[in-house]
Amino acid sequence: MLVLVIRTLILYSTVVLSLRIMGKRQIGEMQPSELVVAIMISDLAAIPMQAIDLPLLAGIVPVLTLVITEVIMSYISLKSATIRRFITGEPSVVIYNGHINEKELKKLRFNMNDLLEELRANNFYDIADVAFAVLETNGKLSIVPKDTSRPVTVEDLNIKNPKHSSLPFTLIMDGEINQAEMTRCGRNNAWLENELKKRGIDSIKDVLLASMSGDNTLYIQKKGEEDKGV
Amino acid sequence: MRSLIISLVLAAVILTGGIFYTSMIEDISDDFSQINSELMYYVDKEDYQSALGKAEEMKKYLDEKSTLLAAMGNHEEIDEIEGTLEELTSYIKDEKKADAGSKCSSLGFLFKHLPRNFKLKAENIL
Repeated sequence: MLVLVIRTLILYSTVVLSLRIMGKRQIGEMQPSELVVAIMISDLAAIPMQAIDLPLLAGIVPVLTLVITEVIMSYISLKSATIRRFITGEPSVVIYNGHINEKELKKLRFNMNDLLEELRANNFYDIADVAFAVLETNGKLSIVPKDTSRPVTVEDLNIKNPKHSSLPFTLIMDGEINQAEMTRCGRNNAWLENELKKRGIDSIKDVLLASMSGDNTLYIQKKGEEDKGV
Repeated sequence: MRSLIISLVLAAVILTGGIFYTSMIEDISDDFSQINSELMYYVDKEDYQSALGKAEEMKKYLDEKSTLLAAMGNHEEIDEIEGTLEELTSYIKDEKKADAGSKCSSLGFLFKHLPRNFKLKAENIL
């Protein structure tokens, strides 16, 4: 029993480490080669996990080999457009200037239902609103709406001084000050404690979340302070 | 870039380890075959005391190398060697020449078979 637990923990660590080596792309949108690697890794790790007759290395070595191959192929893809085209393929324009590219759809074995479904999933319920649609190599559909259907922008509205948006600063999380964020926003702990006192909060430990937006608006929620409506 | 370096290091470790392991298994197989040949000789000469000594030597050597063998080899194969060696010991103790000789031949085959799975040959790849 203990042998199985230890083998499982070793294989779990190997797979987690493998995914970390392969990078963030692997856990996000997957390219065909990455999908193949992900499927194979899960299977390779599962077999020696339960079959104690098989040496552990019989699972670890193939997993690491796949990871090495994937990383090296990704690196070669970065350097060579030809290899990139071969491994990941190329995006396909399925709607061009408002016209469906039938030839491309046939080539992709993508039927009209699939196309309409993808458009709906992207909040385009009427194909007449679409100017361009590109099927990306990870299988997602990217859509460019027609000028008449795209959302209004600040430029369209002729607003002279639009509100500047920036990444908010998370100053306190679970009662702990994030010093890196404090430095980034150019404030100090004394200022923060003063702001908390103004709101009747005595200790930083009582704060669940405190964040400051780009326009210096402070949002603070105390621990145990739930929405009264819930 | 860090991932690439880690991958290249891992690749080097796997390749070097593979070559080193294969050569080590071949040496272990040769050592076992050598002890087995001597054991067969004593069984043939009906010198059961010396044969028993060689069987014990083989067991000791197997114990020493069992972790290395189990690291990449099929565990069933190692169990089979251990089982056959136990049978051989009991036949030697009972002074059964024919049965002991037969078990020696089986062991000889198993020892020669040990490195076969690791050799870079088409039959192993396919």
